[in-house]
Amino acid sequence: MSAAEPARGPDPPARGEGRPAPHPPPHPAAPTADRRAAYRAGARAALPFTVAIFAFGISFGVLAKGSGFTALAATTMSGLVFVGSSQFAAVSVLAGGGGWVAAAVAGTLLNLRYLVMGFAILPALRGGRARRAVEAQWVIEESWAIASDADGRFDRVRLLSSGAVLWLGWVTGTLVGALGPITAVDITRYGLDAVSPVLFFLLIAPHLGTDGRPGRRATALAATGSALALTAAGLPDTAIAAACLIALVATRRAR
Amino acid sequence: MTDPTWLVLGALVATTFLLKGAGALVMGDRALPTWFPRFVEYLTPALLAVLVVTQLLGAPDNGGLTLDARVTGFAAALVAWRLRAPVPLVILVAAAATAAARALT
Repeated sequence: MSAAEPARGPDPPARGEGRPAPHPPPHPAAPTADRRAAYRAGARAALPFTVAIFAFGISFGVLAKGSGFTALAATTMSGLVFVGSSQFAAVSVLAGGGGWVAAAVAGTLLNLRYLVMGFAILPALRGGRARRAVEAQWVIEESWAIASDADGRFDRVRLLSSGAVLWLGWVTGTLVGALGPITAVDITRYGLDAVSPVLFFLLIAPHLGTDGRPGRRATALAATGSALALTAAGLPDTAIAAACLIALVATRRAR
Repeated sequence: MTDPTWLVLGALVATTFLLKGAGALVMGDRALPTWFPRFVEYLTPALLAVLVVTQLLGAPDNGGLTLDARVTGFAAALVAWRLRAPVPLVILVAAAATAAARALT
């Protein structure tokens, strides 16, 4: 939805309506109106994810509180790590009686995917090494997906605006969970656990259009199949690595 | 007295920063290889497909494929999406159908 959705509002982009131009102008040189539209597009695309992330933040805060984290520690972790799955893993290991090294390793392993995502988004970031390394911290799966264009490029502005909105939801959710009287957020009762797969599906759609590189649908299908098999085998965390391999094979074939 | 919570926090913050920032820290001003953007073009839909599968069918304890009310919600959302419903409505349909399916079983 992010890339295919033409920006609306008082500052319409210079490009025409409907389908996005196949080759948008380089992002750093984009005119101000385009950039403001991109800020809004990123923030708006992040909102539905943020509702889910806020709820997950509350449950993380509750879990962290139960595992001996102070509200300050839990919120600091959410603010600086900003990866739900990794934080859940680390805190669960600690709660299960594991040591701090085992907890940190578990959390780090789940973060390996950001190595790939960080490299992928690098051309869109600005500044020297340090600044780009800091800008890359806004990458989480949702902001990365929202920032991605169908042509394989990324929009820095959409990354920053969606990242900021998601970050606020995650951090305030954690704080509410760690401080509040809530003992558990009934995510399942309100069906919120079905929200993120649907959102990720909606984010794939622009990448599977017929105007892009051939073979992307086949690649996505192969990744789906391998993810199904690996999840069935109880190894869902390896599915990301398998998808990297599948994408590498497709890249070699496309040569 | 070392509080394990702050040790985990510090370690995880450090590794996360390094992993997310590795691209910028390692590459510096060098250009990425020419095949890399092509790779990313294939990688993005592949990774998103993985996330759909693991979040839709994964179990919290890695206990294999789980078919539960989420599937009902996902199917209902697909119908709404095919009918060109706006994104917030698609999300609402997904959550409502999932909650309803759970309440009825």
